[in-house]
Amino acid sequence: MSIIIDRRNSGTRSTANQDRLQRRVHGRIKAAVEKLARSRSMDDILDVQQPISIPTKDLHEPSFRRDLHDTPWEQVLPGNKQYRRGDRIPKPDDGDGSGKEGDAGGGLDGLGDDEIAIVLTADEFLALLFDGLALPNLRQTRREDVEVEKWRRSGFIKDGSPSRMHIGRTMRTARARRVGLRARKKRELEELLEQSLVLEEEIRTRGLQGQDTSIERFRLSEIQAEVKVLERKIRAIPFIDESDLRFAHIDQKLHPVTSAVIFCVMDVSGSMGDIEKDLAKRFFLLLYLFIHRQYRAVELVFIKHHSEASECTEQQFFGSREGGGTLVSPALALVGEIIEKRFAPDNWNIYVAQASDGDNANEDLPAVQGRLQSLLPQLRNMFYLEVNQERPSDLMRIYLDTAQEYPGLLTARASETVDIYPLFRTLFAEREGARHDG
Amino acid sequence: MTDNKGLLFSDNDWTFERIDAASEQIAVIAERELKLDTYPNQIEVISAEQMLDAYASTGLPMYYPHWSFGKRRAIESGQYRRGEMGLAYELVINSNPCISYLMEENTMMMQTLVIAHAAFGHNAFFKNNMFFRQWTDADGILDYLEFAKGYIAQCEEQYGIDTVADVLDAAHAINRNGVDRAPRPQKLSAREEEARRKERVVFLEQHLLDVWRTLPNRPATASDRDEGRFPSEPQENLIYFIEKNAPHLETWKREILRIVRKIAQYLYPQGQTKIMNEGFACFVHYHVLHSLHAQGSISDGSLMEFYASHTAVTFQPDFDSRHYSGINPYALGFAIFQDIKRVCLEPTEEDYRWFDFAGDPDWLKHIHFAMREFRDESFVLQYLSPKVMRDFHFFVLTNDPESDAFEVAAIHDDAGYREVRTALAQQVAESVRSPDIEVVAVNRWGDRHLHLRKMDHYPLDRGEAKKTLDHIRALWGYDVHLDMSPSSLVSRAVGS
Repeated sequence: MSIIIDRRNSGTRSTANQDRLQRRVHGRIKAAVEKLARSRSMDDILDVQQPISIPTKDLHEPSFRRDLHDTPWEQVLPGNKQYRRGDRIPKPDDGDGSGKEGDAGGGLDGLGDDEIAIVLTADEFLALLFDGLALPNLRQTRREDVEVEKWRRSGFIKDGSPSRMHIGRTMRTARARRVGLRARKKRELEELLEQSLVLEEEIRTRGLQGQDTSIERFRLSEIQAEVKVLERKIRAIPFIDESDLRFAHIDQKLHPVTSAVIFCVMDVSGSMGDIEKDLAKRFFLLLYLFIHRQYRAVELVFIKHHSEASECTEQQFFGSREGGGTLVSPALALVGEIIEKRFAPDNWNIYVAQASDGDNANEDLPAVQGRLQSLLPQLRNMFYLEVNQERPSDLMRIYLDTAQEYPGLLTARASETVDIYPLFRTLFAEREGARHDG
Repeated sequence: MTDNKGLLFSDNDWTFERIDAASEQIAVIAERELKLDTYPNQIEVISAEQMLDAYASTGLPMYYPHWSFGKRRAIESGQYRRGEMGLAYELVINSNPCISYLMEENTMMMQTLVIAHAAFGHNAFFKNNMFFRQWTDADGILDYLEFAKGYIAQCEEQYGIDTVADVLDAAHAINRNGVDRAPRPQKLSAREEEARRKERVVFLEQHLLDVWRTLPNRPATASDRDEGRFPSEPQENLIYFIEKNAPHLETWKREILRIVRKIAQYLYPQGQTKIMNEGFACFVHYHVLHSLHAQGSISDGSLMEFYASHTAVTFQPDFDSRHYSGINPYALGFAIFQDIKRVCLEPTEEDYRWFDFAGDPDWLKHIHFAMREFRDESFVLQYLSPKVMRDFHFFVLTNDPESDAFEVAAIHDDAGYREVRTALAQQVAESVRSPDIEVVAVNRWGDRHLHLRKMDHYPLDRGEAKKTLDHIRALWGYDVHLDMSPSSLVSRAVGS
């Protein structure tokens, strides 16, 4: 009699092995992930089902094996067609043919595949991509900035205002106390009553037999006195006692603000070409992915500007190209306005990422500096990426100056797509110094 | 049954009802016609992914996690996806009840074939073959694997995944040198095992190993040191030796060595009986499918499909074919078992000269005897007939590295049969045997180094040996030397 079981839905059990395999080749996977991030287009990076190849030699499992090279051997082969005993078959030029014997001592390694593919989940991929990276200066900001205080319940206390008295708890405690105090006395009482019944019975029989009952009567009166005392004590247990009172406790707790908003600001004037925009896009996307890992929800606000600034959709942001001169301060002003209207700094972690080719009208520079001064205190970080410039622009100088005062302002320059990921890594490398500052 | 004319199935989709009905009819044939004695069957239908899982863990239904299994799975699933490797139609476990996995992709005809092959052929082989009876405990294996998995999970929790992986890596490296080749019957039961483990922990924590008692009650004298070598005889089971005698190995690491050793020992007979096991299972399915057809349970069309699968499985490509990858154990095993039956029923004059059972009409008795009492090496020596050698066109090729040509040493003719047969048996034995490395001495009074010696005459791959020795050193805790010189005679003399 056979038992037949459908096992198809019980899933695969390879996860644990998979985990251990990834631990084993962690370094290599990480390197591969970083290489991907450097070389591939943004969409490919996001398409994380891309398998990663790991050379199996990294995963070699040694064992005692025979060396079949240059040793005499004898083997039986099937399919003889014309050979007779004593025939000599010239060896092929490329050796002694010992390769045929091949894997007599080998195991799976003999399969000859020199690479295996590991497919990472989105989370694993991002974890590796951002491994060792931290938001700079985050620890330097004061704790309260990251968190807001909220009232929340936290258990019960014995003291409190009458309005917060917890009836249910109080009655439960009172009952427990009453039961606890009464139980022993009740037991004693029952014993005494039983004894008195026995005594009464004895007095009755002795009385009938005409014997003396004075000792028993005395004992009975004693017991009855004890019973009275006990009954009084039991009655005296209060229904509710001050010690029973319980009050709901509420406490102020710090709650982290778990939402973040990223303002992406980009110059879309004629001087920003497709290459520059692609650089900016890569930077913004990495930033988005990275910040997304730190918070539960991340919103994106896109602001494009030439001589005027406007909020727009993502498509318009990366797609549009508009003429005219360039003014940066209106864009920063718009960021300030939107923060004021929609993202109170108490409830939002605010980041600004700006990409520009550094082109700005000279007369606008003082205004930019002013805007930065008023904007930066409200931000977690501001990132400024200058693309395709051989030397820092005047705009960059303003940012660098301001960064002296506000370490949350980070600047970088890039001119090729392969620069973006390493640049990102240097920007966010977890600096020991930064840690200690916190 | 709704199928016509008593057919088990008329179209080729499988259902659980059909599998049940088929397995019942097969059971009747297996018992009445082949007198098979089997464990109860547990048939499980699995997906391709699950089959890949099972592959990765050497076919065991449950295994402790290790990166090498993940690696194996990655390799195999890559090959499978690229179409370089087909998956087996089934996988069967030597356990009681005997678990057979059937692939969900199989047609109903394939499921029928696979049930006959695995759930009855392999099953009977597991239950009756001498080596399985001697070396494995089908009743206890599932519990034991559960114990092993639980224990290793506990170690990982306590000592860290990487630390445990290091011990497993080292143990796996000498896995093939961790089996006893001479019988030492032991039964595995998870509960006893756990109880015994606890006893061992207590004992080991309380006692120093005697070997290392370096503070004797009386001062050590020269005669103590000359008392003899330790070990007194060379030990072939490296894992066992280290488990019992490594000076400072923590108890839990010894336990892990024991687990790896036990599982290696459980798997050992499978390598020793590949040709026989597959040959016998093919012999059974071949007989069963014909009986099913004869009694009208499967249609002519199904029988044709069966032939297609059967011939594909038992096909032996010639040595000069692109498809040649060694001798196909299914082909050779099936041919020999079929031949035993033929020698009984239709013996030729030649068979009478070669086999004393030729012409005995009770062919089933001889099939059973062959299935029970042999392993591949002795099976080939005993039963490979001139006819099968001729059918396979076997010949022996030798290579002398000094010479510029290979030489044909023997072919399938009267002068060569015995030589071909001996050479093939030798080849079968060697292909599953790991290099013979034995513990010959421990320097007990000095630097405690472990002295290993290679006992066979085949050269070792030095790079591999070096890395393997590193693993052994990590376990032993002191230096380990391996003597690779082929002077095995000397060491045996010293050892005894």
